[in-house]
Amino acid sequence: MADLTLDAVRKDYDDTTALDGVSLTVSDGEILGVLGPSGCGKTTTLRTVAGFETPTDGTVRFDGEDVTNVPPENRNVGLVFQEYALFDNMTVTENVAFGLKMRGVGKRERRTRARELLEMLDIGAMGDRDPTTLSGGQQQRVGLARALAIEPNVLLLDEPMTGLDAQLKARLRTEIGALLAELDVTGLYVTHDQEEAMVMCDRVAVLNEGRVEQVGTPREIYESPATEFVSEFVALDAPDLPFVSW
Amino acid sequence: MRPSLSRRFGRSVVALTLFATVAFLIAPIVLTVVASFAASWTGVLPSGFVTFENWRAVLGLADTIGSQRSMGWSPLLSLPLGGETLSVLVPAELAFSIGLALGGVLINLVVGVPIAYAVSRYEFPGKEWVNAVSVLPLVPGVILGVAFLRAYPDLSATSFGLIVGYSLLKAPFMVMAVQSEFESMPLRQLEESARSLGASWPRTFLTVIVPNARSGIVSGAIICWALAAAEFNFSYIVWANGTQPLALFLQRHISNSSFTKAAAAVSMFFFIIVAVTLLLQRVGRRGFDTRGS
Repeated sequence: MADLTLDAVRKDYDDTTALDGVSLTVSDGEILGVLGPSGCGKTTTLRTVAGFETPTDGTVRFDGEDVTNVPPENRNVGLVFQEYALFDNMTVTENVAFGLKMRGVGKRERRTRARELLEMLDIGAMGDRDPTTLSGGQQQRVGLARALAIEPNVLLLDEPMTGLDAQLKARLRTEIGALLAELDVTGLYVTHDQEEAMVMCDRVAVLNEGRVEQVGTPREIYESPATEFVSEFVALDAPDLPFVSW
Repeated sequence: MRPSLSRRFGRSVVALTLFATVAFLIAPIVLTVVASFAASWTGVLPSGFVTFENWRAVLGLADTIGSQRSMGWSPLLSLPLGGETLSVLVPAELAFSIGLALGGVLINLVVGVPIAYAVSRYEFPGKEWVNAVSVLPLVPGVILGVAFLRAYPDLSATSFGLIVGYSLLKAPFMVMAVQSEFESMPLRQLEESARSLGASWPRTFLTVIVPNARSGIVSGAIICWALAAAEFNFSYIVWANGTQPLALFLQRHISNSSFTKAAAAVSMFFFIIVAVTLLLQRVGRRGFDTRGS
């Protein structure tokens, strides 16, 4: 894992500005939540780190090294999507081993490592199945295993639990949160669900209209919102939050 | 409580209606196949069973004359076997037509799949136009045939001309089938997952995107093939001499022979369609299998 720095990243499209000078640092082994309403630039931030968007201005650094112009396939970044995006033409094990295959790891070794990850995520028995035969929660575990298999510099999670039901969400949150902490993963966790951000993330950045409104621990965000936008945004569904858990 | 009327009879009424509809639609096909083994077919039901004369005539195994000339036979492949040559003979027109239609499908695959991908995946100026132009060849084959001859006089009466024409005429079916498949997939996420895992764009397209869309691609290929093999209008205008495309052969048999011979010719076409469909489905399942990682 590595630390991640975004330095005054700006992204202009023809008639709109998606990111208006976003600066963020995520230290080694830290999960930074990216919170905000739709259209605030969360996903653009994530895609810029992955290399699918080239910033109009500013730099992206992994461990101090400028990767702004490195293509996505050479960045060693893990991606997890709300839509799972599993490869249906491959088995679960092959999905997880795909990144290792691209890196030229031998067949036996990549299968062993895929199996280890599946065990770790509690779906060890699913290795030979087709991804389409798995439940949503299981598919998302496969997605996570696939992204972790390449031992990414940075793990990027784009609303990974949005499609799941509340009960499953609660369970996965705890399990995956613990796993990410144990593996010392550096990550960006994009979500619109505040409760999820509070539980899964070490710190949270609140974005609005392509700008960072506030960065801080979940507690700081709640107890001393820096701007009016942040206080309004966190107030939206605050009452149900498990305040004790932080 | 008494079960409601729909509860008691609903299921059987639906099943019966479906069965009757299917039977009604399928009856002509079944009758045609049956009639191909009959001596005459004047009333509703054919009579004079069982004769193989019609099939012999159509397949070119019986002596025929003039316009009733049947298919010639040509070697599909010849194997040198211990000094002698073993040839597998197939009706020339059959092989010719299957080849032409497959050639058209090949062009449709190479051109249609990327177009469908571009239209489903990307936003670009003129996207609606690409979409519209790619379904434009839905115009009847007569119109396209005439336009084709005017634009490319050199391609008239050539096999290549027929292949290009078939692919052009049937392209919309490929694009639409594949596009609807692509649109049901999380294309961007699939592509970005594979790229971030270290696959280059071409590799992503060929080993992830295309195999994940296999069912749409296979149905597109089957539709394009069957329609190209049966395309009469375009073939009639562009073809001039030599081995005839199957559609022209069928037309000749239907208009110049007894009804039962026509039945044999048409039945043969049914069987080919079924065989090619099964074959393409099989190829689709196996061909896209990138297992064994």
